[in-house]
Amino acid sequence: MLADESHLIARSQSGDLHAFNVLVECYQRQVYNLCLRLLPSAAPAEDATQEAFIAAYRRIDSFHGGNFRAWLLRIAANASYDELRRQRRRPAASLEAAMATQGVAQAPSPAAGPEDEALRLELNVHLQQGLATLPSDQRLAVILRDVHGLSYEELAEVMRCSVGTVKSRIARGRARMREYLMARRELLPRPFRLTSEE
Amino acid sequence: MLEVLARIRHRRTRRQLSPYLDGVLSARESRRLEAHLAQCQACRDELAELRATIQTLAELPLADAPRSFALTAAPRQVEALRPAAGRLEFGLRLATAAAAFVLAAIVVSDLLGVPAENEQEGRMAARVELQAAPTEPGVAEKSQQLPSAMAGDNAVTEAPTAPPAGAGAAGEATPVPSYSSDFGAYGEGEATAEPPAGFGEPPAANATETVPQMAVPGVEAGTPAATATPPPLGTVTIGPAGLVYVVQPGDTLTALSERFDLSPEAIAAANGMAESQPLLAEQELVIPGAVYHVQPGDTLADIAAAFGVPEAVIVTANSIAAPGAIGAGEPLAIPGGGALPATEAPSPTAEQPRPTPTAPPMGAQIAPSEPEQPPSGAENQALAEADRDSLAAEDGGPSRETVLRWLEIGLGAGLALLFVSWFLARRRGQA
Repeated sequence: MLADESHLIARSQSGDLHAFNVLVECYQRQVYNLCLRLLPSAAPAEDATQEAFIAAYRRIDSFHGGNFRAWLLRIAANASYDELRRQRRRPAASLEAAMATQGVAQAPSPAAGPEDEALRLELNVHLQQGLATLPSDQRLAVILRDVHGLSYEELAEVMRCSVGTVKSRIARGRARMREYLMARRELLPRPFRLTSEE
Repeated sequence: MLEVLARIRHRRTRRQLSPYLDGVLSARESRRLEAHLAQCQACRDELAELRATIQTLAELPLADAPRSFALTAAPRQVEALRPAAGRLEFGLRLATAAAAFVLAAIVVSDLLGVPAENEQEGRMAARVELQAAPTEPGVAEKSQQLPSAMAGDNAVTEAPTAPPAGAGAAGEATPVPSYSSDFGAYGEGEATAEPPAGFGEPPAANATETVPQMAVPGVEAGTPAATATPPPLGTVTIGPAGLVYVVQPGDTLTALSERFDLSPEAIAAANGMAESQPLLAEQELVIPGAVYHVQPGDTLADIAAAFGVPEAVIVTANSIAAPGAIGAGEPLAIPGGGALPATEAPSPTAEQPRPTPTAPPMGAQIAPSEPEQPPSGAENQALAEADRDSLAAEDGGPSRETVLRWLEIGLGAGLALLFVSWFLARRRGQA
């Protein structure tokens, strides 16, 4: 898989769009979800994702080995921040209005029952709002660590900072998230209450 | 006391809970944390809550991509722009580095101050030095006395304020041999061998008076110049007594006067001879004029303009192969050149005191008293500025000021580029 990936990257660097699109298919879910967490709603997340892949294709020559996922997610994060700035410049699409539509935008999971589905959506909204309260670097750190499961080293690569900085950003971000969720404990779905009361 | 310690430990523990859950704490840190957790209920609760938070985040389902984000066509146009931006950034960084280097170079050269001192002195010397010998009072006296004495002897009615005419008239009346012997004495240092016959007392007195001054350098420098290293055909050499021309076979006074843009009277008078007197080959003729040491950035045209002398005269007098081939510090013979005006800038007022090229040697010889006081520092600076500004385009070698000015410009531009690149980098960092 890894050898395959570097082969695809090398072909993309020589201008093979098809090879690059294979990479897109591999990573688009992660990229889209990162954008979705960093942005208030699905529509700008979709735009940011597309922008990120276009930017990645343009900059593929500047990728000199290392972790491709970290490299791609960094571009995605930058694209999301660009999109966020664009959103702020258009007051019509306000953050709160976008937040209101957030739950609807989530794709339903077909396996879960209707009750679970409702709970999940509710939790999703709370988490998203909680993440929105974090400073951007802490938010990115928490999302990449806890949602995407990146290692501290990968995070350091994405955020271009030391592992120590990553550590402190994650710790602070999590502490804030904990405070946010604890303050709304009664609003949260049962599974969370059960876990926290253990 | 113990409570304070406990609180400090508690606070540190809280910071370590997150890395502890990720298993990135060192073994020692983990042991210490676990020891604290064992006795601190608050930390245990917090750890549990943190774990639940992380778990909740981890269980957050990843949404499916709403569509394929595969690129349908390569974004060609912008792709071409990117490397250019990269090159621009590289250029900016290079410029920044160059600016830093240049700054260091300027500081170092200023601290050492090596070339500055020498050049400044050289410049001063060039401004002052025109003709060394004529500044001596005896010679100035002679040149002044000569025409008037001759006018008196021959009872010429012309006004003594018109020396060329006076000298010419006197020259016609005086016997030829006396002049040649006089010249011989002048050039070869045999003044006492044959006293001038046709002259009255004053010229004779003058001849003996000037011989000790003129003859000695004439023997030292004039003779070797004629024998050991004969000057190239038709050039003017710079001797201690001024500009010296070694007569070539076939040269006539009229031809020389045309070549040097001087009147035949002026040349004749400078050498104390008659206009009609034939020139002998190898004879050394004093050419009235000045010596100018080329300054960095000077052009021939500017020097010619400053002295009010045709450029072609300087070219022929010095056998300059190409107009651009004058090097800084090189002495240039300027036939007919008087003292430099106080400022080199060709302003109408500045031209007033400058002696005209047709003036008798007196003009050139008296003039040096004027620039004897060296230009003040400010004036010097102004001169340098004028030189640089007018000559920057086609200088033989850039002057130090020019180089410094360009370095300053480069430094300023480099700093501006540094700021721009920093700003771009910051923007990109934010994005």
